Amino acid sequence: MHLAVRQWRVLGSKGFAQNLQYSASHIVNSIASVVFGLIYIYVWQAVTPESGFGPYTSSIIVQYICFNQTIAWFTQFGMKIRHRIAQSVRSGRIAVELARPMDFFWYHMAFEYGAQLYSLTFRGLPVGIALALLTEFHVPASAMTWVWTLVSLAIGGYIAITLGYLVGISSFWTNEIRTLSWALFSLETLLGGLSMPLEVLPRPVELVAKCSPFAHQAYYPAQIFLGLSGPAPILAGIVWAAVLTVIASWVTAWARRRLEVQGG
Amino acid sequence: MKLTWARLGQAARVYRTLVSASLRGQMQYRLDFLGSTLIQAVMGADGLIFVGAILWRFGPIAGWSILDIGMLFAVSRIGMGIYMLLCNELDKFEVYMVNGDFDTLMIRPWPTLFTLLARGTGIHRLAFLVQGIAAGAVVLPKLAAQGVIGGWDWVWLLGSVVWTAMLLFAVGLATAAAGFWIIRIEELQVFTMHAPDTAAMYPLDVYPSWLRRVFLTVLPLGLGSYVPLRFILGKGGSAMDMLWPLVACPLAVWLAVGIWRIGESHYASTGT
Repeated sequence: MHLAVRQWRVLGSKGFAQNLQYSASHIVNSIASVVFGLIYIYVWQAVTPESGFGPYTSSIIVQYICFNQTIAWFTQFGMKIRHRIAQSVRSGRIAVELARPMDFFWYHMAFEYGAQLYSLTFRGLPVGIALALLTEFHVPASAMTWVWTLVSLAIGGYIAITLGYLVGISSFWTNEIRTLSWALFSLETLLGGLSMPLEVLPRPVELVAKCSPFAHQAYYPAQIFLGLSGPAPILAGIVWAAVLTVIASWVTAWARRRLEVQGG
Repeated sequence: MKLTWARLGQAARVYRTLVSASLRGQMQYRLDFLGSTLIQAVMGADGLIFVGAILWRFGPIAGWSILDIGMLFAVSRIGMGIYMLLCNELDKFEVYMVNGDFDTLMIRPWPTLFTLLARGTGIHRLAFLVQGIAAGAVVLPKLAAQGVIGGWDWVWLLGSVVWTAMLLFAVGLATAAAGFWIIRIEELQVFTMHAPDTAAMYPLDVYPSWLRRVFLTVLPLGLGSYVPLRFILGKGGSAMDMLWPLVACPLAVWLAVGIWRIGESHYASTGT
């Protein structure tokens, strides 16, 4: 147990440190993210009725967008796990990775988690601060709201990385993961509620989205942060995380049996 | 080098040869190509679904109905589709800078930009064109039946597609040229290409004037679609809205080519 925690800490810090090399380009991307946030905010301000809709007033919608543009840097944007695995398979380096004395899935999970923590700290938070300065943004007063938001976010990040891992490991069967990556990104954006509350969608789609793992990447953390929901959705997030972990372990074992490395 | 008709004919032949070689290479797995194009076209339409959901729920945005915005989306997507199809290598220019592959373009007996564009077509990115054409096929007949579009509007619509593609080329080229100094441009592309492209899918009336000015001047993607469509669809503006892009788009391309040439003269290989 102690060893596993140490492995996680070391790999996570490596993933975090590796990203420090690209700070200049990350600043440019953060500016782009602020512009994206502003685009969505202004579109929403143009369409939201004065009385709002459901629990969402114009001000809450703005905060919803600001919050999601910030946390998306942890749960969606900048994730490299898919392409890292695909490149390893393509180059044959995967043989070395599989031979390491650590579970392949946990190795990538720990590394990516560290990288995404970097992403949240140095890319997401500056975006959030910039949007907060440009708009009307309030932070929760209750400490418990912060705690539950962070827990929900931690689970959302885990779910996102696992989904990315599943797309990445599909490269054991196909060299081309671009289409699957695109499909995953679209599902995360649409069903995750990144740029709109899920209540805007037609009722059947809304229900599917709320039951999907994607909603834990943006919608539920935002709901908890804005005080629109208690901590109840966290339980569903834990269930999704467990289910996806089992699937990832099973697929990893299957991929191991299938792998053929060329060359020498 | 003097530009003559013979030289242009020769360039066209070289372009055709290189492009067909690139197409043959990419079309080896036809079924995979068809499947991925279809999936990308459907899954990548999240932008349209987002707008559609908002319109369905709240009605017109700043006076633009679902048909109007569908038209805006169609023009933006088709323009982007043409850019991606013809300028695919420009879009992934960072790889040339990082790996030092640009060296191989410099020893060819043609301008580097020409060789670069001819090296690979973005046939695998047809999804943008498919989305745009599909949206256009749905909204155009309805707008025509309502009498919103007719006569010369068809020509102007075609013009806005060409202007959008030209502006994307200009911005894409200037962004790629920045790679001669800063090497890594992928993040810059998100700022200069993807953000304004997303913004231009909505009527620019929803943005405050400072942001609207940005999307019409510094990152002028709104000039190719929003400005002409505003007039064509009767949302305001004047006949001058047809003239601005006609002047601005070639000017933007000329400026971008100038930046490219300056950047090229500063190129220092990263290879061995």
